[in-house]
Amino acid sequence: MKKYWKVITLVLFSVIIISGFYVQKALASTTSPEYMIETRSGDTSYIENIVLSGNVNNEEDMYWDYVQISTEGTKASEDFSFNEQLDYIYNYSPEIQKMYHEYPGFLRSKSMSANLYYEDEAAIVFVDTYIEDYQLPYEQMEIALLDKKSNEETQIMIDIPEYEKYDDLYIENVQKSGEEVMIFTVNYFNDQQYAELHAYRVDVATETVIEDQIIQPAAGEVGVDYSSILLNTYTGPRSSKAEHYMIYESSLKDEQDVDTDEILLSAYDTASGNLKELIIPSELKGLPLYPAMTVHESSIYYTNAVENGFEISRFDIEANKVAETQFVSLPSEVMTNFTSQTYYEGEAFSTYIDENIIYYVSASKENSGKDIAIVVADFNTGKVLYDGKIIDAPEMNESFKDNLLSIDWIYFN
Amino acid sequence: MIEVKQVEKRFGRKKVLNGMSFTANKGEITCLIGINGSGKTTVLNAIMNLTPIKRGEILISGKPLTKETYEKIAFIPDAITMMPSMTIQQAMDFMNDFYTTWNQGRATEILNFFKLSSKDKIATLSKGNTAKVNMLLGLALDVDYLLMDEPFSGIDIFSREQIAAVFTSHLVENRGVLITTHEISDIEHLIDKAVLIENGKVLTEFNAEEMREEKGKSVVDVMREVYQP
Amino acid sequence: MKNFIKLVNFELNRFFPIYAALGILTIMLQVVGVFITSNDYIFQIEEQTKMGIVKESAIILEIGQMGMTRFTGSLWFGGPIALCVVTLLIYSLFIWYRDWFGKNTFIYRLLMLPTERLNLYLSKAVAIFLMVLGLVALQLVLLLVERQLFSMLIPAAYIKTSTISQIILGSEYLLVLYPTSFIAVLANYSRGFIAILVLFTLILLERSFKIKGLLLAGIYALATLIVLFAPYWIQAIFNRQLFFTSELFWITLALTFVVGAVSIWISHRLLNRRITV
Repeated sequence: MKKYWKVITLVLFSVIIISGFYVQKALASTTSPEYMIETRSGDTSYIENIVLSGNVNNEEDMYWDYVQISTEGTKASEDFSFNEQLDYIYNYSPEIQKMYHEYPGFLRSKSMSANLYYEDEAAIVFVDTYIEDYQLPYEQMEIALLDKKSNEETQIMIDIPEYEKYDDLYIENVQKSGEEVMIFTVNYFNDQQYAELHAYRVDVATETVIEDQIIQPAAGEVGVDYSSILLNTYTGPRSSKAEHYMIYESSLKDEQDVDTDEILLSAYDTASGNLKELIIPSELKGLPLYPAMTVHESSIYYTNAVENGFEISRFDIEANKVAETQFVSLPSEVMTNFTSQTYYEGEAFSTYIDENIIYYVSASKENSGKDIAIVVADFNTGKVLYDGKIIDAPEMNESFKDNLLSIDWIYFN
Repeated sequence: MIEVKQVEKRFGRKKVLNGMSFTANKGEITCLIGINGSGKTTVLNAIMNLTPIKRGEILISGKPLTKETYEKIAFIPDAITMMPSMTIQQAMDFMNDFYTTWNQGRATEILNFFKLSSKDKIATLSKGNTAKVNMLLGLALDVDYLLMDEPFSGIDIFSREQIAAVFTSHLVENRGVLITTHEISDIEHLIDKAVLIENGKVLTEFNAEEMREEKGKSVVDVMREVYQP
Repeated sequence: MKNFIKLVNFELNRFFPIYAALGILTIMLQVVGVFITSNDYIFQIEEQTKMGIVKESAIILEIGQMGMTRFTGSLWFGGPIALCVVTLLIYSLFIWYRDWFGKNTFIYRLLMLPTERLNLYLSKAVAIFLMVLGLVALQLVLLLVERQLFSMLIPAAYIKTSTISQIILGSEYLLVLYPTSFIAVLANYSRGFIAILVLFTLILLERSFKIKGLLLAGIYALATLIVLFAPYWIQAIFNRQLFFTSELFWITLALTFVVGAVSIWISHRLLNRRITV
C-alpha cells in the first residue's frame, strides 16, 4: 500500500480541492449581487408580481451581469439553468423567454429578437428578412405563423416590392390583424444615406404583399434628413405584443433644439391600415422622446417628471386630442431619481401601464446617490399607490456594492 | 508444445516469414538456426504477439495466445526489457508485482550465480551483465516455455560460459526452450532439436542426437549441406 | 482491475520527478510574481505620494485599487501554467515513444504483461489526466495563498476584495480551468480526457503501421474533427442555426463520447492484433 502513496495523495488532493471548491460555491449565496425592494409608502401588493429586468456592471473590473429583481429576490445569470445560460435567454425580452419554454420548436433556427415577433392568445407570428448566400439586397421576407392551439407552424415567403431599390432593410415591428400580417420596416437606400419607413400588409393565404405603404419617405436632400421613428419600439421595452396603433414621429435629424412645429406625429391603425396625422399640443411635443411617451392601446401617455411629481397627459388617438391630464404628487427626494439625468444621455425611467395604473421605475442606481425608485400611481385619481426603491440586500457581498445597476424594463409575472 | 503453422508475414515488400512451420516441445531445447534476416527474431516476436502475422497459426499448449499465456511463456529478447533507470532490485520487484509465476527465491539464486548486485542500476551494467539480468527476468518465472533470442550475441566469453551453464542446470530442466542463434558452436552440444531456416522458411528440422548417432553428422555438417549445397 | 491500478501507479512514479518539479516551479514563479506585482503597486503609491497626493482615496482614484487581475494577467501567473500545459502535452506523446526508443525496449515488457493490453492504453491516459487534475487543484490552492499574500503585503485600503470566483472570472486562463457551472467542468474535463484517448489512438496507429500509420492517423484525426463538428457543418449547409446553443453543447458532448468509445475500440484492436515492436 505504501508504494501507492503518490497516486493516493494525488487523487485525494485533486478530488478534495476541486470538488470542495464547487461545493462551497454552490452553498455560498453571495456569488452574485443581491438586491431588495424597500417600501417607503403604499400597498406592496402592487409590486408583488413585477419583475425588474436590467444589468449590473463595474467598469474597473470589467464585470457585467444580467439581473432580475422582484420581491422574491435577485436572479442573476448564474441563477438560470445551465441550458438557459448557454442559450443566453436572459438577453431576450420576457415574452421571448416565455416562448423559449412554451414553444421551443417554433423558436428553433429563428432569431430571438422581440421586434420580429407578434404574439397574442391564439397565435405567434415571426418575420425576418431572408437572404440566400449573403447576397444583399434582401429580396424576400420569410413569415412563420404558429397556431397555438394546434401547435402547427405555417411558413411562407413573400417578395419584397421594389427590393432592388434598397441597400438594407430592418424590421422594427410585426403585427397581425385577422388573416393579415403587418411588417413595419426601415428601408435604407442610396448607399445607406436615406431611410424610408414602410408598413407592409401581407395576406397570409395568398402569400402576397397586398399593400406597401410608405409612412415616411426619405427627405431626398443630402444633409437634410428626417429622423423618423416608430414610437412604440422606442419608448418602451422590446416587445412582441399586439398594438392597436403604431405611432410615428418624425423630426429633423441630429438637432438638439428641435422646433416643435417641425415634429409630425401620425398613427397607423393596424386593423384598417389607415394612417392619420395626430394633432398634439406643442408643449407635449416638446418633451424629449423618451421615456416620456408610452403608447398603450388607443392612447399615448405623456409623462413629465418634475421636482414635485409626475405630470401626465393622456392623448386619445381616436379622438385626436388630449383627453385627460393628471398630476401625481411625490416628495422631491423621490423625484430626484427621475429627473436627475438629462434625457439625451439615455433613459431616465421605464413606464408600464396596466389599465389605469401606471408604474414608473427610474433607470439607474449609482454611487452618486441616485436610486432606482419604483412608483405606482392611479391615473384616474392621481394617488400614489406604492412607492419604494431598490437597495442592497443585507446578504449582498462587499465586492458588489459599488456596482452600477440599471433597469431596462418592467414586466409582470 | 509450441506449434508454428504456415506463418506468413511481410515487412514492406519483403516476405520475412514465408510459410514457416515447426514445433518446439516441452522438456527439449530447440534451436532456430539461420543467418541474420532469415526470420528468427520475427518468429519469436510473432509467437509472443509482439508483432502481428498475416497468415498462419501459432498455438501454445494447443491454444492461441491470451493474456494468461504470459504466465506460461517467457521471452528473453535481444535487448533488455526493463527501464535502464531501474536497479536490478526494482526490476525484480516489478516482475514480482505483475507476474504470479515470478519466483523470487529462484531470482535470488540466479542473481548470486551470475554474481550480480541487486542495487546496481541497469544502465551502469556492462553488456554481458545486462544480458545476464535479461536472462534472470525470464528464468525466474515459473513458466513452461522459454524463448531466447540470440542469448550469446556480443557477450564476452566468460559470460557466455555462465549463460551456457544455465542450460544444463535445473533452471531449464523440464521446460521447453526455443532459442535462436547464428553461432551454433557455443551450444551445439546442448540442443535437442535443430530447425534450419532460410528466407522465412524452414529448410529442415531434426533431432541433433539422432542425427549424430544415425547419420554421424553434426549440426554444423547439416548446415553446410543445406546452406551451401 | 488491479493491474490497471498498478500500471497507473507505475506511470505516475516514472514521471514523478519532473511532475513534482513542475509543481514546485509553478509555486515559486507565481509567488515571486506576487511579490513583484505587489512591489510595483507600492512603488506607484509612493510616486503618487511624492507628487503630493497623500490621501488614500485620492491615490486610488489615480492608480486604481490593487485587484488580483493585475497579477493574474501577468506572465508570472500565466507563464507557469503555459509551461505545465506544454510539458504535459509533450509528455502525452513521450509517454508512449519513450518505451520504444532510446536504450529502452520497455514496450516488450509492457506488451508481455499478463494483463489486458487495453490497460496499457487506459493507464497512461489516466496517469496524464490525474497529473492535470493535480496541477489544477494546486492552482486553486495557490489562488488562496496568493490572495492572502497580497492582503499581507498591501495596505488594506488599497486592496480590492474579491472572492475566488471573481478572481476566476477576471482571467481567461482560469475560466477555462474552472468553469462557473459544474456541468461545464464535467464536460470540459471529459473532453480533455477523450482528447488524450484520441491522441493515443493516433500514436498507436503510427506504431502499428509506421508510415502508412501516419497516414491513417491523419485520416482518423480528420474523421474525428468532422464528426465533432458535424452539427456545425450541417448548420453551414443549410445556412441557418438549426440548433439552440444548449442543444449544440449536448450534441457535441455526446459526439465526443462516441469518438472516445471508438478510439478505445480501435486502440484495443491495434494493441491486440496490429502492434509491433
